[in-house]
Amino acid sequence: MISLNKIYKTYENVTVLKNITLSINKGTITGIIGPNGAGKSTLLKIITGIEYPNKGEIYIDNMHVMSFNHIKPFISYMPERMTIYPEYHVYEYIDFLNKVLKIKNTNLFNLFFLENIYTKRIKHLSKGWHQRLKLYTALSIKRPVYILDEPFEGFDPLQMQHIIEILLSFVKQSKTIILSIHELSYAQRICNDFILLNKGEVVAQGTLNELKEKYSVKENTLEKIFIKALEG
Amino acid sequence: MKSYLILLFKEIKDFLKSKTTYIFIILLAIILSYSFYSAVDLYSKASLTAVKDKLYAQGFEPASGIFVPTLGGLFILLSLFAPFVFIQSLINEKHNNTLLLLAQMPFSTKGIFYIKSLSSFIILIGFILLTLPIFIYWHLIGGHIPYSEALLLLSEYMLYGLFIIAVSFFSASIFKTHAQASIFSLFLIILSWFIDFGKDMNIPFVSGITKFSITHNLKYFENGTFSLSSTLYLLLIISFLLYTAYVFFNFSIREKTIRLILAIILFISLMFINQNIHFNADLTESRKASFSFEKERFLKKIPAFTIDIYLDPGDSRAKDFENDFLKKLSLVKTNVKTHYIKGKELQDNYGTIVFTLNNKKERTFSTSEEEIFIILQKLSGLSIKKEKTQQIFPGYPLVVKNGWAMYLFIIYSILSVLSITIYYMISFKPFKKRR
Repeated sequence: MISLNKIYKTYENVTVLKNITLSINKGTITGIIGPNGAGKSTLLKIITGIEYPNKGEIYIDNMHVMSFNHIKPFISYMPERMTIYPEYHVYEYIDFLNKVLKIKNTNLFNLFFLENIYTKRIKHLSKGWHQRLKLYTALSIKRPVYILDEPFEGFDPLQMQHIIEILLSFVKQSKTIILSIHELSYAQRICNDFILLNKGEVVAQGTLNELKEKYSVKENTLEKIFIKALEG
Repeated sequence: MKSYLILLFKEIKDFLKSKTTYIFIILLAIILSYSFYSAVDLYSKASLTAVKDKLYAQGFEPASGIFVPTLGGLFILLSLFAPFVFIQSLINEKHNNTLLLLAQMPFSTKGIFYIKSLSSFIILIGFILLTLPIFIYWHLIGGHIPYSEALLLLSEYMLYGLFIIAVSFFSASIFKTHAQASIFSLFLIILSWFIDFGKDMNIPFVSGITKFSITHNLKYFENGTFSLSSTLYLLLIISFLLYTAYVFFNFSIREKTIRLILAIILFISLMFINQNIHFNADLTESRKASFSFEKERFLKKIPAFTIDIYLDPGDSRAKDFENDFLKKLSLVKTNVKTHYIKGKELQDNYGTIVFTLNNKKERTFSTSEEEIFIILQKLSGLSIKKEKTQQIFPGYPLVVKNGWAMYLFIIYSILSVLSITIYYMISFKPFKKRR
């Protein structure tokens, strides 16, 4: 569904992404994993059309897309760094979203338990609740593809389990989810496919079994594969 | 379209949720009431003699005596405080990364920018409307309102306010933090004042540049003259700054440099065209920026003439001649040719002004309007008729009872309290309703 062909990105003579070629299938959850500074967020921004590659092409449903405006109808993006209007009460923000996005169904609202924080000011929310609100916003925008940059930051294990269930329900509706993730154990629980980035290059791509085979790892943990892949 | 209306309401609400908006309103209330009180006090004291003397009374104009000094406070506030109000509209969205959120909704980045500009303009109108109690109160205490001059003055502040919005947006689009953008806005605004200071320098290039300063162009409005070229110039600057801000603000624009170069070329070309537009209209009741009716009638009858000025353009006499005579002349006669003579000829005849009409020449050392009209009558062979009494401006002196102007403080205090109440209602309204 989404394919990237020989993508290069440079910032002030520093190459952040090198020769990125990959493809992401419809109805999957693809986890982009890699150490800090590997280029995960930049790669997501390029797929979203917020950043332009210096070289290379992006295709969505075999259509060559050039800019954010081309990509916008396909993708909903949750950036890692975003502070939702701190001066607003949650209900004001939700009302705004409902009116603009014409949301009539309250299922997602209920799934996120936003009722619990409905009258609070956004600036007074805990990190986990703020992250929940961010995620709710991204998932409220109806698109075939959801790109989530570090969506699990600030969640406690219970919240995490809950959010994972919501994301899995989206995949059942043939939605595609691409997410960057630090926590390998969670990545293993939720993702079907993995893209391993290191120093701006794709080191490996595939399902857990394919990666296990490629790196001759017997254990059923992504962590071992990750370490082995980075060691080269 | 409905979505954009929702966005507009959100943007206006954002302004109304911000403390800076209310600080601005309170400051505006204090400064306007104090300026009005001082202006009325001076005007009233001076009027004590004028009410008994018709000739002295002619010098009493409410526009220059009351409204210009009172609204002067608005100029300072717009320059030094309004950037803090308007910058946040863009910088908060950029800083919090919520611009990306809005761009993913059914809004284009162009649409978001338009709505942000429109909401800022609505807030500006609100600020300008806060000056209305001055006009109403002045009328209630028996003062005369020259409507055309008052409207011109308000449109001056509207244009200046738009300029401040454009500068604020420009700064907010190129800087990342509120502090940086605010300081840069103030830098640009104060720089535009400094350019105007150059008019008193005897350097032709520097004094030439001052024609492009914002304050120089706003002076026409304050003096009661509608200048089309100044209005267009201000609109051009505002459009250029807003477009540049839009280019920097919009993350989905690729060729920013090309767009900016094209905008600069277009801006310079339009500025050049605008230089050739000469339409000024004196809107003052006293006709202080134009000649009397009979003098105008006389000038329209006589053929085109030339004026050779043997003065350095920086000379104070040359400036007086330009301000007192040539500016008024340009409102009536556009086919008069003026030359500043240079070189040896200038040195030999320094200080004289030569008028050539019907191949006849007359020279004078005087720059006085009366002296020049005597020369023009002599050269043309026509004479100026005596002014009719009803065409003479009577003047509007007004003696105000001691302390009456103080009541405006009370009106503005009520407005300030009302604005604080609105702030609390919008920001801390307890929400009972549940989904």
